[in-house]
Amino acid sequence: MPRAILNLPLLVILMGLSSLTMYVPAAHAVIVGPMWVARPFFYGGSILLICTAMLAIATENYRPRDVGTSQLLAFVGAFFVLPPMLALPFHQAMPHLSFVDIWFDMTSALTTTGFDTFAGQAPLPNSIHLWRALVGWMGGLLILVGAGRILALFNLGGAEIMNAKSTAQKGIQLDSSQHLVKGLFIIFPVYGAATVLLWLGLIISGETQLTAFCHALATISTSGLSPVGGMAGTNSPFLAEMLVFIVLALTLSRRFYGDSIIITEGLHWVKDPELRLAATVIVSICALMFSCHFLALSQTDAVHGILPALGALWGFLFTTLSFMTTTGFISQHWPMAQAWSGLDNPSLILIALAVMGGGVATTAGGIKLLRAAALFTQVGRELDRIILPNSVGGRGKAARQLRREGAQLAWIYMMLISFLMVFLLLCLSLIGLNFESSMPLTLAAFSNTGPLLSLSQEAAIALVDLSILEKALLGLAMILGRLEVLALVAVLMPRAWQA
Amino acid sequence: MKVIICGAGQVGWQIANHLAGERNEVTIVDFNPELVRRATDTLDVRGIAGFASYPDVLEKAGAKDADMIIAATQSDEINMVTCQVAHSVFGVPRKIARLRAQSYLDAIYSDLYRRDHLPIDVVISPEREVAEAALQRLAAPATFDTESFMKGRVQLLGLALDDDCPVLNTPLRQLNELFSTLRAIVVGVRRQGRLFAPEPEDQLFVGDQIYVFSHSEDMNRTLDIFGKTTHKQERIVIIGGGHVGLGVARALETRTEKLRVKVIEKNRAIAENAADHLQRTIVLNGDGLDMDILLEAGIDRADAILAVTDDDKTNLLVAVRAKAAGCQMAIALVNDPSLVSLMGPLNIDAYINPRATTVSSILRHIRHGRVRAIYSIGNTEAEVIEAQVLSTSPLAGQIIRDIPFPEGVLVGAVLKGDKVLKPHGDLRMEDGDVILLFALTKDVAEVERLLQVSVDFF
Repeated sequence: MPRAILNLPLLVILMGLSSLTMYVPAAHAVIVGPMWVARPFFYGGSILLICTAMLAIATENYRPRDVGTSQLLAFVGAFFVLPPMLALPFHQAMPHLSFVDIWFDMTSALTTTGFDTFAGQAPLPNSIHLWRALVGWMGGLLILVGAGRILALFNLGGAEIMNAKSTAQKGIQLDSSQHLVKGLFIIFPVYGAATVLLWLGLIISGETQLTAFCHALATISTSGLSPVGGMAGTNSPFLAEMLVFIVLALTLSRRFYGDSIIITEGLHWVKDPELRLAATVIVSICALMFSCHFLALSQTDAVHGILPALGALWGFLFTTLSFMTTTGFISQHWPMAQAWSGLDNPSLILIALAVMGGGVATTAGGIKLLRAAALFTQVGRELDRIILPNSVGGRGKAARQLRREGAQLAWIYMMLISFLMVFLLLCLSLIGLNFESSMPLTLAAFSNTGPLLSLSQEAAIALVDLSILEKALLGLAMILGRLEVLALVAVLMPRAWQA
Repeated sequence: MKVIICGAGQVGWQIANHLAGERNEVTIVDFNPELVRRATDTLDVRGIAGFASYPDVLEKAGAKDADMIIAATQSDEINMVTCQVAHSVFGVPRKIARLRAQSYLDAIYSDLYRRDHLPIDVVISPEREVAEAALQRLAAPATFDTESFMKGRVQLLGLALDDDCPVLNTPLRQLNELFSTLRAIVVGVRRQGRLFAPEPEDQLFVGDQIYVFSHSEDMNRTLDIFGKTTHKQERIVIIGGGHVGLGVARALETRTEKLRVKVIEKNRAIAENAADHLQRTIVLNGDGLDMDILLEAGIDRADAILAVTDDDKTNLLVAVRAKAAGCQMAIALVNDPSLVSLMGPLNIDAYINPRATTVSSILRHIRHGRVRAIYSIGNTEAEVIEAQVLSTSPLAGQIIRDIPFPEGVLVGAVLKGDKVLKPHGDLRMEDGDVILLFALTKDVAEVERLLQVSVDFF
């Protein structure tokens, strides 16, 4: 039986899993109420499960010519097919919300972007909050397995930076989703354990059960979806932030999910370019913002004292890490930190961090640390070469790979994504959105950091008020950012990439 | 003593030459019959054509009653297997192998060569020997030749005297009285291409090349007296990033003083490999003969250039070019001994002969025991021999004045217990003392008779 399931097309398997997940909010709503939320989730789950079963029977004997390519297609397709499916019971439960809004919200959850779509609206039932966080969590898991087991197979999703020339993995004969299950078995223990431990930790720190659970899901999947509007809504902020901080650090690098699943170059983790860059950036930005206090002191009515200093430092530390991993939780101490630094708008730094993003093959979005590291090392080498044009760089084969082919591909990717960002910005402006709104929207969508919007101090952007076309464009941008564009390019012209 | 030498290449040939000259029973094994025939024709050795690691070939070579086997073929693996076969099948007591590959030499594997693992008593690596020789040359920049003896307590310095030397035209005896506390002695003078052992009345002139034995602690003072200033070497350029160049660069990196080392390597892959293994050293990819590359390496301000590519002519030309561009000192690696005479005219300060270095290091291990070290000077014009005085030797119990040394032999230093003494006529040699001798090649046989090496030790 399991073998038969694994032989099904990947998309059908994913649809089945999504349908099954719908029973979780159903059960939650049955226990804590209200019943009118439970019903659509139960019926929706059941009906979709039946549909999926019919699809499964229909496609049982379907054997694609190339399982790898078909899985890549399914992985990319999942981000287009699943959100409407996931939105269905949500819409049935909340019929007064438009389906497009819910589709947008589900896309943002599945891509771990985590836009707070219904901010400013009537509060959602708890089970719906649970559902959104759960979708984000599932999306995170999908990305982890997909990046490690599908994209890496095609030298995509960061694998190209490490190992641009290697096609070693292409030779693997795939006949079912067996290797994905193996990948899941490697990732899930860490992913699941981190979730459960954080959940328990947050409960101990004094959260309500739901908030603790949703925050645990949102942290490990870096979606940042919160039923209470982020860290500000928690009861014992410091302890909770501490725990979240630890788990966020885990999401920085693919290393923490088990080395064996994703391309790794055998470097000790201390020498990992991503972790080094992350540590350097976080420490230097914190130091910079912290020391701004002493420069800007005369100009503003900034706060003083040891306690505010420590609070500000923690605020910087937590928030920078949170935005680097594209989670987007804002520390309770952030306002104090902002006041301490005396800067007008330190949020810009956070936006830059989110665009840079976290590690490759993790749940984080953005351009990714590895690409940034490749470009940084390349810049360093180029500076060396200005002094000594014929010098040869050292530090081993992996580092050389990173500096040459890696930097080139990172550059191509960066240009591609920047071009797309500008394109989206133009489109949004063309439709009629003003620049102040379209800029953060574009950056948030492409970097998969929904909470970025809450940083803009000007006017809160009401996502519900956006037109359908704008939402569709932003939804596409989220998927493009999530799939790192190249995966979609690969799907659109597989011949070109196989050659 | 019965010795089997595997490999009739340059190193094997030289060792065979040395050992055969000492009336040992030498058998050469090589798979090239032509080489074997040439060896048996020119040297007093037996030859066997065949693969050195085959037990039947070794048996034919007389491995059953051999005292020592020296595996010096081109291949590390053949050398290792040969030693293993010699040990396991024939029980040859002493096994020496030449190993090139860095991996075999690395310290973590040193346990590998234990008796019950891979039974090799002595591992000789030409690259490592050359790197060490290069470091020695760098350490004594004012000398054209240097070697340490008596476990580093005595240093042999080869000095070229110029106008700055304050002790010119003074009889050596007078110098001895002038600097009575200086533990140094002039043992050889090369004047107009001829090397001789000086008499006490001899004087030193401009253009002489002298060999001085000095106590290591007095080395700087000795250099001072002969007008050589020791200035610190900070900028070093190494041409060639292969095993030798990389070995030297790595050794230099481990030093505590701040050195600026640059390596120039032509082959991109080798340059990358060198860059990977070095931390602070800058590796440049380019032709060492190219002036632009040399200038990029800062040759005009460099204190020393070390040309250690595998091509002799490149090394010489690079050294000359560097000197012309303003480099203070040039050291070149020269494989062909006949090129050594070009060093003077080309104004190259020092040279390293890898073969001589390897041979002398193998010989040192062979004569381990009574003759503890041997060093060949110039183009085998003279030898420095460090030997222990045996009770059976005619030296024992005599004072130096009475020992019938030939004309071309001088005593450089005497080690009594732990003390290095400056030799003088009334010093009595006793059993167990170690004596350091400088002997012109024609007198080496007589010295060895005095030391009674071949009869007694083996």
